[in-house]
Amino acid sequence: MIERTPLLNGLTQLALALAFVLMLLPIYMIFVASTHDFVMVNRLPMPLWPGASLIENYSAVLGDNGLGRGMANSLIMAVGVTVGKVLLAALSAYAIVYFRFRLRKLLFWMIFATLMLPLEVRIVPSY
Amino acid sequence: MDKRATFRGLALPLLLIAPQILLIFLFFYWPTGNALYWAFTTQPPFGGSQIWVGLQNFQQIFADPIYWDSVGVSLVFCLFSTTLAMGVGLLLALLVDRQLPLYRLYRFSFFLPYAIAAPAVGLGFRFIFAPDAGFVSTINQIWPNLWNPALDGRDALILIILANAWKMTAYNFIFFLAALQGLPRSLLEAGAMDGAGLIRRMRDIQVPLILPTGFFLLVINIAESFVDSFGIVQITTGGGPARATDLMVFKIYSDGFKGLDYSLAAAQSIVLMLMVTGLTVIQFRFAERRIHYS
Repeated sequence: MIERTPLLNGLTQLALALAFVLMLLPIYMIFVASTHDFVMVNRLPMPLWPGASLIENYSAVLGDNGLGRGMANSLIMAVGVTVGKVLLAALSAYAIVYFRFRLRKLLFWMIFATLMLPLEVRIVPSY
Repeated sequence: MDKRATFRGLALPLLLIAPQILLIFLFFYWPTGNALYWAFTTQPPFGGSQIWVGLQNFQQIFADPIYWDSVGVSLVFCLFSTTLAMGVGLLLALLVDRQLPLYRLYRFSFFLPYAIAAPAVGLGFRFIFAPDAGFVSTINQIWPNLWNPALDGRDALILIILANAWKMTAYNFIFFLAALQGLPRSLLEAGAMDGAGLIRRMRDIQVPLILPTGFFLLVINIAESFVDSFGIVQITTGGGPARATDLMVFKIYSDGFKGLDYSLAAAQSIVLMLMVTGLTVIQFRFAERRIHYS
């Protein structure tokens, strides 16, 4: 933005618009699919515009038989995990960065190594 | 080497770090220790306690060609997914950083894909790319069976690579953008005064200065493509037509939970962990010397 580059600006906007469509297309398609009833969803090709069953589908999903409870659980878990994670990580990071002590490198790598193993491996023994 | 003020002492830092260490010990090292134990033992077929078999589980998996197939698939998946995600993420961050009109909209919307849970991503992509009922099915009407992830292994692999890259592009984008916005504008202005055009400034000033972020993202992307790709595979292809999308992590799940052979699964997960650790160590060794932290 220092000099005038109308051609590059135009190309940039074009590229960004294209990326916008590509990145949001899956989300949009899922949304459109969620507003159709069962018959329309399986048609070929998939309809591109939202349909008429929005309220019906969403009330079925968010009600007691659907995701309502699941969402509440997820919310509780997400808030708890976030708060806990940030707190603990801030403490440990502070300790590792601002102090010089013998075990510093070892502890850093111990914490970092936990990124390496998939969750699925830890779950059975934890249970 | 330390350019910041540090304190000496042992008691206080250990105290600060203690809760984290306790947590990871409880939820990571102890279960991993258990998994290690499982990897070196096996359960006799008619019940009873474990018997020690040493390296037999490992020998079994290394002799299995199916296992090596899944290693190959995982490597291909990692390579393409990481390259695509980091390349596109960097490009989008550079473009959005220019702060042309509407950039706030793009900044918000480009992050959204990461916020979507992996199974939902898998479902959405399966939807769009389904050969008979999806968005891409129109291509199939012109050339029948050109795109069929249910039958063609390569199409299925492309599908999960795209799904994973889509998600990680959003992640890389936000980190690159944050790094770019931390660069002082005066550097770019100085470059412009010296006659550097826009592309030259991007290439020679902005990109080299955000290499520390790029290195971090490389490590995270590679680790993620090995370890967190499970959700996408499970929902879209379930291991793929004829095991074409049988990533290592998915194979661990199918051997362990569906095949009920925990020892084999544990051995595989140890190998996977060592592989990811090895890749990370290589990256640290290779790149640490080339990146200057300001």
